[in-house]
Amino acid sequence: MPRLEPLKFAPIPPTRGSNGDFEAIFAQEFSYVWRALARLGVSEADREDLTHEVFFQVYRRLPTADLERPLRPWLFGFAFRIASTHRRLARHRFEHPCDTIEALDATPSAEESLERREAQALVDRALEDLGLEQRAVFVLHEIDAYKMPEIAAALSIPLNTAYSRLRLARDRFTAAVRRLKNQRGTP
Amino acid sequence: MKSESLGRLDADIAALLRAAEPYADAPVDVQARVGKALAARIAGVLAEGSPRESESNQLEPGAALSTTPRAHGPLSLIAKPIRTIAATFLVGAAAGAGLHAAVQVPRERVVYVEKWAPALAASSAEPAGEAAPEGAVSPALEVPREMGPSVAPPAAAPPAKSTSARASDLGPEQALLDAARRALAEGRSADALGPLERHAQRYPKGILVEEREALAINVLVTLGRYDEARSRSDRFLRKYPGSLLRAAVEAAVRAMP
Repeated sequence: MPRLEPLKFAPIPPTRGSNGDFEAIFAQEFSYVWRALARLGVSEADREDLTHEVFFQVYRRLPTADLERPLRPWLFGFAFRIASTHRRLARHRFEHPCDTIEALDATPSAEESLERREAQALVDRALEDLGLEQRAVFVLHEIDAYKMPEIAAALSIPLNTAYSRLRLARDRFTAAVRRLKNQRGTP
Repeated sequence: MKSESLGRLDADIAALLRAAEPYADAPVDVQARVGKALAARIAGVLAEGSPRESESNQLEPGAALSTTPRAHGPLSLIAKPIRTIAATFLVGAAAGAGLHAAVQVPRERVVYVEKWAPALAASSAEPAGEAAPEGAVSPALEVPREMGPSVAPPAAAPPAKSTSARASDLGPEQALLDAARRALAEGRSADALGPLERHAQRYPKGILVEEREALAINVLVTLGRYDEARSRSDRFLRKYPGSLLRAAVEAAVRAMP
């Protein structure tokens, strides 16, 4: 894997969140943000711009961030808000990320790869049935395995709201999976 | 509703999620490209000195987004207003996750007092290290002009200063908000009123108006001035419906009896 040139960012206030913090977050979490936007349904065509936007906001907010809290839910919160604005105000095309999954690694067998791709396609189709707010909670809890209080904090919503969204998301996701399987005639 | 009542996902659904192909990492060339563009953007914001005239008052992303032409690609819809207010946050304004903590009710509040970049700090009239002096307590905490139609003009505005947002005002603006935030964090909520009012007078269209209002609402809540806090939060939510500070303001309102 080619190495990235170290990036030098302009100075930010030194009291909380140094340039080193930002550069490390950028280097280590870029792909997480990229995947988070994909999970939120952002098309690959738009994902680069929105990833840029997420990190620009992270840069701005880092001095006031509570770095004691888990980083990824915090990053996901930015991705969620930006994806939400992107979708709501601009009516951009959202797509099934599975349509654009890059060529698979050659390590697993072809059969395993096919099964995994089919599973991912089904997950993505079912996620489409969820509103973005439900989808964000579902992804963070069921896929990223974060605890609900962390998710509520990251999305700036009351804990009970987070639970409510998760319950609705589970119901819808489950119903969607069953429906899609029936349409395909698979068990 | 708590997790106990949620139960677990059905076994086949959980198995499906486990079996799904994880999304691929971002391509390395994309990361490099974004990194370079980001570095240039941040440097440009810092070097810009003042926002362009056409952008100087676009402090409301929602409003700007709804009217911006779409000719420059999808991100331009988001990027333009963000560029405008970027300097706000580069000097460490309370916002986002940090602000969510900073303007929470006192029991949960985490407040950081930030300083700004040296180049901007050099223009500061009121360094962040100074607490709010000179009769800081305001009896009324006036509604700033842009939050209401009939408010007195700024009494202590520096001569020849435009009321539009200017990057050169960032340091002084931030100093006032820092003083207020520090007072609030130290349990001296009444002392936070003076800097907030001075900010409202000197910078009625400043860059940190949104942050000032969110902070003021929290101060009013902690002082038990609930009616004022409610009316002010109503105005805030009308004026900044898409604000990232919205959740924090709503949390402060919910903390009122």
